[in-house]
Amino acid sequence: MNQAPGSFLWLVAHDVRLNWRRFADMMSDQPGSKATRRISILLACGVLVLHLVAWPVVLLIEPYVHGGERSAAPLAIATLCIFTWMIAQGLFATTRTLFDRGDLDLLLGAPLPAARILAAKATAIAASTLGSITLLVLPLANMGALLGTQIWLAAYPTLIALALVATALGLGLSIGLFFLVGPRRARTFTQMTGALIAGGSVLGAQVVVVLPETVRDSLAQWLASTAAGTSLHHIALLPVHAMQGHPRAVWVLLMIAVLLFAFAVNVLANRFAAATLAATGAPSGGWARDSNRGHRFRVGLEHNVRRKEWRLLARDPSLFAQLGLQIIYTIPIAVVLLRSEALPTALALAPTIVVIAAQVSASLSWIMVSGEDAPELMATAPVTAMEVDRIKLGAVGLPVFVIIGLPLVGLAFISWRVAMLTTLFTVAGAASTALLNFWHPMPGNRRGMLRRHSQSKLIALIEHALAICWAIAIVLTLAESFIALLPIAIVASILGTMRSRHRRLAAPATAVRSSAGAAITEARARI
Amino acid sequence: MTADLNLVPDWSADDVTAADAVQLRAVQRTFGAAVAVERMDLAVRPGEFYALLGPNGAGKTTTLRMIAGLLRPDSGTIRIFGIDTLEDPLAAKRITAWLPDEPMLYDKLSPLEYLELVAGLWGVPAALAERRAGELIEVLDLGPHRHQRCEGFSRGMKQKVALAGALIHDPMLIMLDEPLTGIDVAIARQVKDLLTARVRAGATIILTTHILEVAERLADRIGIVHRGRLTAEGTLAELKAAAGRGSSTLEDVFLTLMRSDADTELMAS
Repeated sequence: MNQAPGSFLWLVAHDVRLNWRRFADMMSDQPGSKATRRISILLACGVLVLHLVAWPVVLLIEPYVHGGERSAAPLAIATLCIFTWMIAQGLFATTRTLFDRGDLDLLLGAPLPAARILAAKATAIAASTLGSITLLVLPLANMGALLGTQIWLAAYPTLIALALVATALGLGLSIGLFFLVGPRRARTFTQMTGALIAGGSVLGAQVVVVLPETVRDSLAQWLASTAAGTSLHHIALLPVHAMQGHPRAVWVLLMIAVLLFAFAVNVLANRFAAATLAATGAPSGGWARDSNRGHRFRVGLEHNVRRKEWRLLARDPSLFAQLGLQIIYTIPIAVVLLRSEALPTALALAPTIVVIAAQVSASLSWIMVSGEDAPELMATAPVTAMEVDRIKLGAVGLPVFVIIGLPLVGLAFISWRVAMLTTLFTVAGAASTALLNFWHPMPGNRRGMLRRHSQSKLIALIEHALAICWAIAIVLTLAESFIALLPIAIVASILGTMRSRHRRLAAPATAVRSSAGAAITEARARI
Repeated sequence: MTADLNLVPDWSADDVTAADAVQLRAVQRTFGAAVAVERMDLAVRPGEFYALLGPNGAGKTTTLRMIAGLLRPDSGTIRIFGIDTLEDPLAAKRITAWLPDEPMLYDKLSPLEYLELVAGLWGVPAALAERRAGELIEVLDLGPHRHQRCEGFSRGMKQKVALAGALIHDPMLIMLDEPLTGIDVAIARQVKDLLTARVRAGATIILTTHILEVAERLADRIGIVHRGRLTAEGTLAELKAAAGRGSSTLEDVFLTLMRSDADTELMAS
């Protein structure tokens, strides 16, 4: 294999290394080579543990995977979920390559064929797409094979083929959107599409639960009947049959995947290069409005700060996509509630709603405080930090309730009492995780929201603890148990401790007393 | 151009009292073991254009950040037009503007939206803010871009938007950290003209810069900071005289004074 500098494999290795380091940095609170080594060791341990966990799981799911035609429905749904997840990852990776640029300018400026560079990039995208799912699936395949069913190993070529197809689709869709709506809007649309598709994979996982029983039975029968025929009759079921280990299906799927991938890389390569060059300097989303359109000033501290937060949130496609996913995740909950109309279901789902609200609130608070783009502007404004924090806290509230509004309505259909109590605990949960983030800001870029927990493991732990405590509290309250006071007391003591710790840290350090923004300013000055 | 600038301050000359625009007394700030600013005394007069010069890490930016209320000094006092910034930070902030070297903008907001936000933070009435925003946008030649989001702007453009934001509340004291670094000649000229116009209108400006020509041409007085201390201060002529013969430009003066300070430290040690 030629790994000389500038060769295809060398370029792939270069990209895979960068992707790996990005992943390691995301998982660690101290980016660097030590972190990469630590994450490698942790990952190896994790893989080992996953293999051990996979052992009983394989025995449990074996009948549904290789149990004959009857088993096709669950496997089809699982494969569909994996595939949609891969397409979403492919879209995200393509967007990152196309818009975030990275080293693309450097590489395209080097005396190397553009097609080779782009093929290497596409291969690296496929590798990262594959990597995002293999950790969960391959331990099952390995343990299945170890336990005597060699056919489990068909998951390897199937996943590789699916990753190639997903990358090809991702490339095609991104580039298509790029030319269809222009470089500025393409990023927004691609990320939103990715988020919707990723959300679709979650919805897919819920499909068995959500669909009416008659539809589920019909689907299972249809899948069984198609599986009974020749493997290649239904191309849509090709991945399922490949996963089941039908040799012809595996080979055909691999062939289709390689052809699609080669087409995407070779035919779209020139367009990709042109798109990439055109993307240089293009804003990452948003577009100019009509310059003649009037803009009337509405000045008022509260109004302006709140509107600024919502505008920034709505205009950042990646953040919006991440929050959009949260909304998508809540849809199945609402559907289940509306379908079942049973009190036990409401009792079961109330804590889920509380946890989602607490987590979304924490994310939004992090964005608005730690991800503040201009902390110095806020810190130099003649406004007390408390006032800015109060306004921002209010700005967090609305999106949280937009997100969990639907499931709450679903609850209200079942029981007003449960809905009211859940709303109360949702407010409490959302407020507590928001306050935690306000009191302990961790400066970072908005785009780094996903890796915010790596900044402080302690804060991440406390954040989860608060959400879980409120979830336990709602369950116990609905069960009319006085023990509900215990998790509430735990939350109060945690928040009390964090508040006093915040006061100790903030007071001597900054000129602007107890300001989250000023704390960030101070931290950045030290950096 | 800026000579016709219709940016009349809302405060009158009566507001500018006999007090110094900025007064630092024995201000000290350390970061761990490193002394960033060492017992600094500094006085800037009202309506003065004051330039702080010094090598990298001399303590210029730390000094300005303390005046702007972004950092609390370990010891010493800071007064802005007689207001103790530690005692009454909000009153001090109401009449000051701070422009850091990296423009503090929101990429997803347009210049007009940004100015609207800043006006809201400083409590400028809507009608007045809108009028000032229009004037600033015109003077800084931002008209065609006023509805575009800042994310696609060049550094110079961003600097102009940030400058407009700094001026929308019509501050009595403007502090700028390296405002002209990395921007092209035409934009630099616009910024310089606007700052000159503000000083003519009575505002006080303190800026740090590495571009000695800017200090030479614009500043009424120049302070040279080295290792956290104000080692020399005066008009260009006074500094030339202090540096001795052979110092015909500010660059000569700067290098001579730096060397002299280093020699003094060496002898003292």
